[in-house]
Amino acid sequence: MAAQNLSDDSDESLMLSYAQGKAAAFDALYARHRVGVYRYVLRHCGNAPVADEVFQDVWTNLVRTRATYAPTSRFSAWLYTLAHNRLVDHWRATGQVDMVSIDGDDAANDAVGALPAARADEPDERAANRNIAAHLHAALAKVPPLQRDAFLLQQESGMSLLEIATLTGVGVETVKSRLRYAVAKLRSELGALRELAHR
Amino acid sequence: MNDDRDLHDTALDALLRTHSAETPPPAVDAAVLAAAHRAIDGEMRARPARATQPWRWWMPLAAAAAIGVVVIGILPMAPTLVEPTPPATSDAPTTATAPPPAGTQPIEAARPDTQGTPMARVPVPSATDRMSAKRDAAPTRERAESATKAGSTPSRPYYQMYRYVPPEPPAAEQDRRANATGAVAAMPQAAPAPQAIRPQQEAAARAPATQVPQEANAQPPRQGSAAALTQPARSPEVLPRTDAMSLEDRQKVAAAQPRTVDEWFALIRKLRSENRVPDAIRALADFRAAFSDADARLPEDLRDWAKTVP
Repeated sequence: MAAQNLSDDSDESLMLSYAQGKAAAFDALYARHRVGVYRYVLRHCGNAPVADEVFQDVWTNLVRTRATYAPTSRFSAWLYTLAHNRLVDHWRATGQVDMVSIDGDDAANDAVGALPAARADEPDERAANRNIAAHLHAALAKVPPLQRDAFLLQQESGMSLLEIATLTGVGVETVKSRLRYAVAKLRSELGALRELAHR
Repeated sequence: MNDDRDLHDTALDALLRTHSAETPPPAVDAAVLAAAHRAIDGEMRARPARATQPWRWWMPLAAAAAIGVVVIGILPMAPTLVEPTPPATSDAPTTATAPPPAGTQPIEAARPDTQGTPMARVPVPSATDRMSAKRDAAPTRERAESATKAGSTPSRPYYQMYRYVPPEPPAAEQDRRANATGAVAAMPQAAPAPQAIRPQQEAAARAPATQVPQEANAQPPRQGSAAALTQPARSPEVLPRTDAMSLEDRQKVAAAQPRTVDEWFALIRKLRSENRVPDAIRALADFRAAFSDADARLPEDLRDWAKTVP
């Protein structure tokens, strides 16, 4: 009965309940968002062990900052903000790419080479396994980080353009531009697979 | 050109949704959930620890305040006891017929109080008491005079005239001798023997009504005497009402009443033998008031007569 009530609650009320000491509310929240957050992190990192660590840090940050949570916006926006900030910290720590200083629209082609998951052997692996998931992963890895970030936020979290813009600290038009570039890049990378899925 | 349709690609979205099977490892799930529950558990443990801290500084003050409130609130509501019996003194006009303390010579009753006798400690009567004394003195004097003229005893409570004194124990006898020498003037003294009362009564009846109030004839029971220990408790409600006696006077009179069953029997027999039927009836009524099973205690010679008395 209690689990049923929790499943009916909104994300915001669950988070408030957890902040007030109701541990079961966290279980419900985690069940709802664990897959989306994990894919968002994994497709950014391209490395499962690193993604596991980042993913765990994201939820740990949520637990630590539960008392400061205020339902001024959607919970998912707050959660993916935590994930986004943790990814930025990760990229800064590894020196792979400076996501803060890069403008969304201009350095798209330059950022492709800085993708953390870009591996030279990926086409061979793709050819060997015919694994669609691997193709997807590789295609996403080829998308510049900021464009990929906007695309993944839209795909996994279901955030609106305005929420993505708020999260990333840019304008809505910039978000739209990033999304266009990301979609165009993925179309070109996954052309055959896309037609297969479309059929 | 920059249409919002370019922001979405349904085929790409379907491909991603269909082939996205990545989920966090169970170990990561367990670690995250454990961390979340551990944080809540630690917080819950910290809360009771703060709530169950031992005594705080204000708790003794709160306890003292609560006790004070209870005492102040309840004590005034507690029923007050019967007003304490003052020292065996009285300014009532009945002192004109007061017998002297037991063990003393009868002449002491008329002796003026010029020495350190117990009368010297008699408190000064209040104005109200003096007025009531004057009011009551006249009828008493009239009764005494009429009784003297008629050659009979004055109209006073029967138990003041016929006081039965049981034999005293040795210790009480020693106290009585000490009182006779004046060494223990402050001790309450026993009532005189019946044979010593009559001359005093007659002398007191002839005494002027304006005489200085003397010590009451109704003495409280002697402490330590066997009679006092076996006496039933008397309340002012069962005390006889004679004339306009105050509560204090009635208490004193009650102290002079017979205390034991044998005393009551002796008194009632004596009153009947003297053909003082009203006094005998009153004595029977008082005896009934003093003992709940009075009729059952009556001897055969009084039982038949008592049946005729309502």
